Amino acid sequence: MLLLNMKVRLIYYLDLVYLKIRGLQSIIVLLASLVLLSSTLSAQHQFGGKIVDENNELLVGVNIVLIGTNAATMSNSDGFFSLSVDKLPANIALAFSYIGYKTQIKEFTTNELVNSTELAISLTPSAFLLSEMTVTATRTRSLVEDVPLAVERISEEQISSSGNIQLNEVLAEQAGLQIVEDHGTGLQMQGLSSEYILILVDGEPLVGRMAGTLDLSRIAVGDIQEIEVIQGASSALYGNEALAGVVNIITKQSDDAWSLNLSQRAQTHNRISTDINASTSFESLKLQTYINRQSSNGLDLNEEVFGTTLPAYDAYTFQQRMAWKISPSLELSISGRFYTEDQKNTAQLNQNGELAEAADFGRRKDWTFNPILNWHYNDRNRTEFRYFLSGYDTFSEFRFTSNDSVQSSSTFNQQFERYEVLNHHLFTEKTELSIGAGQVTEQLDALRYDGLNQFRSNYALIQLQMSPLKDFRIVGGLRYDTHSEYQNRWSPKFSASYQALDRLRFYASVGSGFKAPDFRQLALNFTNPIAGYSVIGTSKLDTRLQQMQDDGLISSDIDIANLLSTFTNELRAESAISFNTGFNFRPFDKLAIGANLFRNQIRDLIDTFILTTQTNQQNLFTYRNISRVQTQGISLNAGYYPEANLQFDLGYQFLDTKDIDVYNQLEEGQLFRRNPATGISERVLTSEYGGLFNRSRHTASAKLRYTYSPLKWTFFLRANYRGRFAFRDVNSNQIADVAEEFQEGRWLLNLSTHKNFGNLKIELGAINLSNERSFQEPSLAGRRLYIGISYALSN
Amino acid sequence: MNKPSLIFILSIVSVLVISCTDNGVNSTLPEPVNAKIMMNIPADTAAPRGAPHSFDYFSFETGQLIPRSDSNSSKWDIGFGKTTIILNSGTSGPGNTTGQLLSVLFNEIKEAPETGYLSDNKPNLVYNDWYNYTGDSSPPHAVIPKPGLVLVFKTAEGNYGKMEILSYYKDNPSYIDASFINFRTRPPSGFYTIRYAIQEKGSRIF
Repeated sequence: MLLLNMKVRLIYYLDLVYLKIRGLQSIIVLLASLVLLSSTLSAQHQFGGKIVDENNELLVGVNIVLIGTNAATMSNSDGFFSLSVDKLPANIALAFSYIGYKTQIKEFTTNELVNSTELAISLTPSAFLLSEMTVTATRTRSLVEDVPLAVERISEEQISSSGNIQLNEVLAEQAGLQIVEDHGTGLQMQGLSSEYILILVDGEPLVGRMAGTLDLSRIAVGDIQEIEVIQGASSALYGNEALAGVVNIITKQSDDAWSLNLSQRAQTHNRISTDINASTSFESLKLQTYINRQSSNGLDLNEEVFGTTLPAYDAYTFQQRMAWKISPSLELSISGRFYTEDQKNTAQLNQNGELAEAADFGRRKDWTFNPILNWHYNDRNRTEFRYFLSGYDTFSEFRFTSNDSVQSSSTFNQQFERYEVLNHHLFTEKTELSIGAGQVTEQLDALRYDGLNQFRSNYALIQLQMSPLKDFRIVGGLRYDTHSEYQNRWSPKFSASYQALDRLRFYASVGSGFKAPDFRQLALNFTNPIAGYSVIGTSKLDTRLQQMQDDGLISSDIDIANLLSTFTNELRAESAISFNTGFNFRPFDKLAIGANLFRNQIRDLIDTFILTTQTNQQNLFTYRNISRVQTQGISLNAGYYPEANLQFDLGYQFLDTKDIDVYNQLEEGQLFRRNPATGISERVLTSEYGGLFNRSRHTASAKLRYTYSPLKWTFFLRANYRGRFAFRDVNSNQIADVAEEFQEGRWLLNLSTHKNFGNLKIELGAINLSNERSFQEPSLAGRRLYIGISYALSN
Repeated sequence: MNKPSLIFILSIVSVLVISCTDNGVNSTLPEPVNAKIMMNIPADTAAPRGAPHSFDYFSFETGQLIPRSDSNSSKWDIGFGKTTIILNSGTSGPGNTTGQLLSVLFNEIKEAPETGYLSDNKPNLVYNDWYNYTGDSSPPHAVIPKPGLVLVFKTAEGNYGKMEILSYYKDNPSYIDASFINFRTRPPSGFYTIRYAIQEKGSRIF
């Protein structure tokens, strides 16, 4: 039978909080029948009925939950269900959910329900294959089908059966997402780079970027329940950095009395990962612990360059979460994370005019502390009080091997603190208003940044979700951010969906996103010790210029006030307007397709420019809002699930990017290149422009997942295509316009298999089967084989 | 040199072509000028890294290097000191060589602009921001002149000219050669190769 091996989900609607339980259907049936058995002994209220689809056919295996209680059951093989409870809640409502159908919540009066065995429920199909929830799209727990946005979800099943151990490896396999190496392993979404993508863990931001890139290799994936990806600007809800979109990593929270999961994986290059997941839950308290250790000996792809391409590393992650239900209306959760990583490499550095070998040591740490109090003070109101404190510290040092003397060292200590209050008011079942406010304090203490830098930002936000007409759903939001160092800003977003047919839904959204000037742009105070040029952030530019003039570094002839008046030295945030529109269509029961058309227009991109010349004849740079960029494209996806044990997914994205100012220059014939052999300048034609660097016009992915049920043996094959992309400038015009500047497209094939033996799981696989290598992408370091074993126990 | 002779022949041909067109003004046109290439103008290559440097001087009028002892004269038109370029006017020198930067191809400047010539004054030197520093990209840590950037100048004698920098490295090497990309085998920096043309008859037509 189709459903027997399928994972199903029960959705408990408990005082407006949904809690999820996942498990094999057999376990749930067992639990449900236990509940049923125990409750029939003292049952006072019994009711039941039948559930049919749009053609009046009986539906088997529909989940039925009495909202506000633990009572739940499932329709039997004849499509009938019955449920018995001791006590009925004040407001009686039943939730019916079934894969591929819209979840229906139906209210009853006591008289209608009690002792009725002939309740007749009819479910209508949904445009979505799976009835899934999202917490990221609106910051309230909603069904994906109720959210007028494109929401992608990566399930725990997919992550754990892929053999991947770091977040970058998981996201690299998603159609439309790209991993780019630039000061770390960052994400690219809708053609926008890592600095414009907000990465959240359980709704709180990950802090600690290097040159804008948030290194995803810092995130171990062993405790991820699911990953939600919202594409398109979302600053109306999330503020800073949510310009291209939001990735929210939702960690596991088990409802079992206790559970323990141990797993160990070993890969080529001596890459070893160990995971420990443990949880326990009591009446009102749940505890969850995750520990991961990863290490590798490093890898050298290029013998000619001194040192290893990928350094040896050793990293530990500790994550803790506690959820305590203090009273029926009050819940406290406290979570924390600590991560530490040591990297070792070697380098050749100048020692007294000779090149000498030096040890390159790096350590980075991040940590978070995040208490959240959830107060459901009545049926219709819920308030979240959130506090979030996070730090990111790095230390690096070069030490000559010959005499153990320190050549140079640097530190970087960043702290992020946020208070937030968010209230949700439910007018009706589908109409909800959220209002919130918060304060962010960021501080930085680092070499190259004078002293301690502290910035503060306050914000307020409002969001309304409603269905003004049948089949229409709208969400509108607005956020206002003030900041101590740059101009205040409004971020609106509006999205709407229309259910044209039961199986066809259209949606569209327009939103604004922004990225605040970062620490570099505001506070950098750096002079290159060899070349002698300087780069100064804008926040204390006047005092620093004065200091330099007093020190004789800039000429006393320069009138600083006059110099500063030549440009706006109060930076504006980089900002985007993004449009997304598309549809979800399920023409057949087992096939779902979707398309999303997008366009992002980003302006006020911040870049350096030459403010003046120093007395040493070198340039003095500072930052200003300078350029405009556009990205647009379409992404297509299709999912075909012919059997419960066979899944087939396809994705494709077309992407077109350009720097608008570069494009205008090209059209005016004002852009040139230098012939590298002769040194002679040539004009670049508009048709030769290859768009922004590191962006592939075409990307695609295909996934095939099959479980051979008799042996519980699962195969998971993924193919990812990254089309031709520009990766360097060889003719000194800083744009991509000649063939030597492009890298040809390539396919990557990953195959994983695992087999279950009771509580034990053995896995085996190959990442990068065709043995692709590239100097440009250190992570593309040839074929990697792996073997893993995991053991799960729970009660 | 062989190349200039070819250019010379071509220019003779073009003169003939122009002369054949009967537009009434060709008799007043001066002869088109030849572009000349001057390789390896030093730019105080002896100065250590990061330390203050002097300038080495060049005259467009004579096509010769001018000794540093003549720095306080109007004999030179342009000076090179590491990546800093000065014109002999304003705060940079006692002379009267003025100029302006145009974003255009060298060969496309058929006529020098009538106005817009600036004296060279600190801190905003005329020939500023003329190169891209490649940083970590390939070729690494190299100074490559910005393409399509041409200096149009007017000498103290009132002659107009145009100039483009081709390279900052000795012997104008190809910067996609492996020996250039590897900065241990890269030719020394601080040797300018320039292409220039000067109209010695006071005309603005090149």
